[in-house]
Amino acid sequence: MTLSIDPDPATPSSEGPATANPAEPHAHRVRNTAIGICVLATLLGVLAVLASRADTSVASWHGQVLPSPQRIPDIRLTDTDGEPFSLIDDTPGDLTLLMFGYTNCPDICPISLGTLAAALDELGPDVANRVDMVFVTADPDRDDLGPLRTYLDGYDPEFIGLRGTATEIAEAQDLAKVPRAVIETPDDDGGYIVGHATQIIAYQDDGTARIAYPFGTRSQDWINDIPRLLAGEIPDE
Amino acid sequence: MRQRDCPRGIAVVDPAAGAAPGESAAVYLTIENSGPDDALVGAGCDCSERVSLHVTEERDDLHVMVETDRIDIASGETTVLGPGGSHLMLEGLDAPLEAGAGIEVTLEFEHGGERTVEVPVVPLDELAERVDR
Repeated sequence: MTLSIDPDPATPSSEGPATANPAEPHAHRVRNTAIGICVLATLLGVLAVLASRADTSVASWHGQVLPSPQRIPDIRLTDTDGEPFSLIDDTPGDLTLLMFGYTNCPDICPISLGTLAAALDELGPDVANRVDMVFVTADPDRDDLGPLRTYLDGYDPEFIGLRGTATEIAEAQDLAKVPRAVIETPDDDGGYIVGHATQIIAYQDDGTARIAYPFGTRSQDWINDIPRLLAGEIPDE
Repeated sequence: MRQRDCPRGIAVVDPAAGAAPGESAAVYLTIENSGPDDALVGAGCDCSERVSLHVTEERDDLHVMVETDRIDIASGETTVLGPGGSHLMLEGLDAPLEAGAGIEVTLEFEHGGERTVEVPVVPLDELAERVDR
């Protein structure tokens, strides 16, 4: 971009008034210079705004920023070792990820868990060890603790599996502000489908979630966002 | 990965199965129908006890998968069976599917007869890339 602040003195338009009134060329040039500086300043301002917008888009978040921050819920269930587990007290990492699902889930859960596991693998143990991924079964009738452990081990042995009674799990979903899972009518073989919330909620080190990751979050989205969440950056729009 | 010799103008495109560690896994594919109206009415695989057809329905705030006995494949339409939507579910797998392997899945059409498709097994995070958002 070229910006001409001063009109070319050799052009007829600036020469014309010069012959009519010797005092004018100077005033004319000063005014033009002032206008030029204003234009330049405006352009610089526009460029600065554009640059800041570009920065924002580069640094934008890859989940859905929550309408209002949510405190980590006081969910108390049983872990796959059969021990009582408190979501608040027993997640020592700097980022707690919470998801509801079930082990017979054919479509959503494998992709969500497999994608997160791939991202944590890519980020490496120094990062992954600071993340507590908590998977709560929404199907406690079928998901006993042993099969739940085996299922999660298929993705990442560090993933935490929790189970409780149907009532406890319904309350846990209420506390986490996700819709309660729906258990469908069993088919002839007794198999059934569980409809459940699919987002993964991310609670940061200050015990607050400001963002959740919907089904379809890419591995690269996690790779971009997890280090920033760990660093205490605040997700905003 | 287009398989053109399907019956009656049906082409099966981009089939993929997820490398899920458990005893069940989903199969995704796209069906292009340049022939008359048809429907997918069943599927089978030597790798599993059973293959069922699933579609997605809305219940309250949730998308719920429900089993169905047919997925209509309208004439001139492209029907996508993709992650988070309709899919085939392999149940009772002999062994967990490993990424890089392949399975043969037989699709049964209401009018078009059967069609066996080679389905590559892909990493789960690759399937996330197929989700619309």
